[in-house]
Amino acid sequence: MTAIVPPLLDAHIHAQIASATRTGLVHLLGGSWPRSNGGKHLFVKFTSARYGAAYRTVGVGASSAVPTGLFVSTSAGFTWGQGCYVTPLLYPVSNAIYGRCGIVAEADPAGWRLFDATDPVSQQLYLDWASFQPYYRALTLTTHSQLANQYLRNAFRRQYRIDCVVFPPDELNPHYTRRRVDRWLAVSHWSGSGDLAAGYCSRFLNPRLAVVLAEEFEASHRGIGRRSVIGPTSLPIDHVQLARDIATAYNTSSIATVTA
Amino acid sequence: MNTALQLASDFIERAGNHAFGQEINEEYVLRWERLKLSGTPIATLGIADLSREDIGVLSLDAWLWLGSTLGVDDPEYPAPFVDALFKSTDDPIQRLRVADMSLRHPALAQRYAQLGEPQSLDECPQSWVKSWLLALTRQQEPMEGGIEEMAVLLLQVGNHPALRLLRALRRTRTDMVDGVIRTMRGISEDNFADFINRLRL
Repeated sequence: MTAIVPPLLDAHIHAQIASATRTGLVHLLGGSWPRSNGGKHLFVKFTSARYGAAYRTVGVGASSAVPTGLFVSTSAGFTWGQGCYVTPLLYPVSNAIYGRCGIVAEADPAGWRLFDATDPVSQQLYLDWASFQPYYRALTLTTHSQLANQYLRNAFRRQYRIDCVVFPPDELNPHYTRRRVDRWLAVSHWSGSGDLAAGYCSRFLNPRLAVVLAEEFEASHRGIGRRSVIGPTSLPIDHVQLARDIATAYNTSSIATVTA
Repeated sequence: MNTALQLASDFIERAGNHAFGQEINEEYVLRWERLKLSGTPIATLGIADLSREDIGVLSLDAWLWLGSTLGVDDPEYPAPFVDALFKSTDDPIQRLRVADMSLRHPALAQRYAQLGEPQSLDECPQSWVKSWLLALTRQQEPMEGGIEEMAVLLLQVGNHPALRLLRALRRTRTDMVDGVIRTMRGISEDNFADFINRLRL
């Protein structure tokens, strides 16, 4: 798609994306990222028990029709618009605030076009881009804030064909989610016509229920936070060991339980 | 009366109407995707037969969500129906969303890909936007703001069909379209021609 923003801004955005893409998601995040038996990196998406059960592949009640990818969220209110919201298994319980069933899947992020929204330069470029949109004033000066954000961020990701936005958590829990450390991903699922698609994101392979959390969360701070109802029995949570345990469960087709 | 749609309306509202909140929306969208894994729910809804009289069955949000789920093999909302959706609101953001949804149907992208470069509105593949633009350009007393609104809207949507339609519109209403472009942030006389060339308008 041809950009309507000034060519210099367009070039800067392309350059920033190219730089993050050359770095690659693995090096961008660092750390010992757990992998599948097949060597691919593992990602986790927490969902409610009702829908997590569809990804159960072992035991009583194992699903006979496991979805082939991870669900794409289309509702307004998701940080970077329509996409598949996951975390690398580096941050094993970071998005557990959204449900007690952790669906783990493997993927190869090599070559993903990345937009690092944790980088202040990238952030400013996006804000500058948004300010040149013809509907910028209408989108930002009306009551439709969630719709406006969704529209603008979808448009930005389409314009620059961004496969993955890396961003810090923006709904927090003091025990499970670490704003300064954890990184969330909004991963694009493209249609044949080059648009953002809904459904199940097929980049994520062999999804299965691999972790169940003995915890409940409820919204707090007017929706910005998620308070643990039960709370961890011991602190701090050993995220590194937890990631290993969940990876082992995935690789042995079993389910790890994380007790509160 | 579209009975199937009426029966499904509560479900579709919970999937698409933001008034239900993100968690409910997410739950029902997930249920919708699971339905699609085992069947063809779209085929039961009579999309191709929708008329102006069906507007009240769903909220605008729900219509927009349902329209955005239509794939390349699914029917498009009929042009008179989209026309009614567009005119059901004065809110510029909602009107943008209606046009955006209509311009992003994958079948429309295919028609433009197969056609090449239309030189006039008449040569453009059939769509609600084409019909509306033709109506606007042929009115003896042009609707105030109609062409300007559509020019901004097409620039914002910015996909291939939108820009081809804008080019065709510019050929018949050059001054109006150029007037809109000149008001855009970052556009000056120095770079106006470059902007036109870049977007192949």
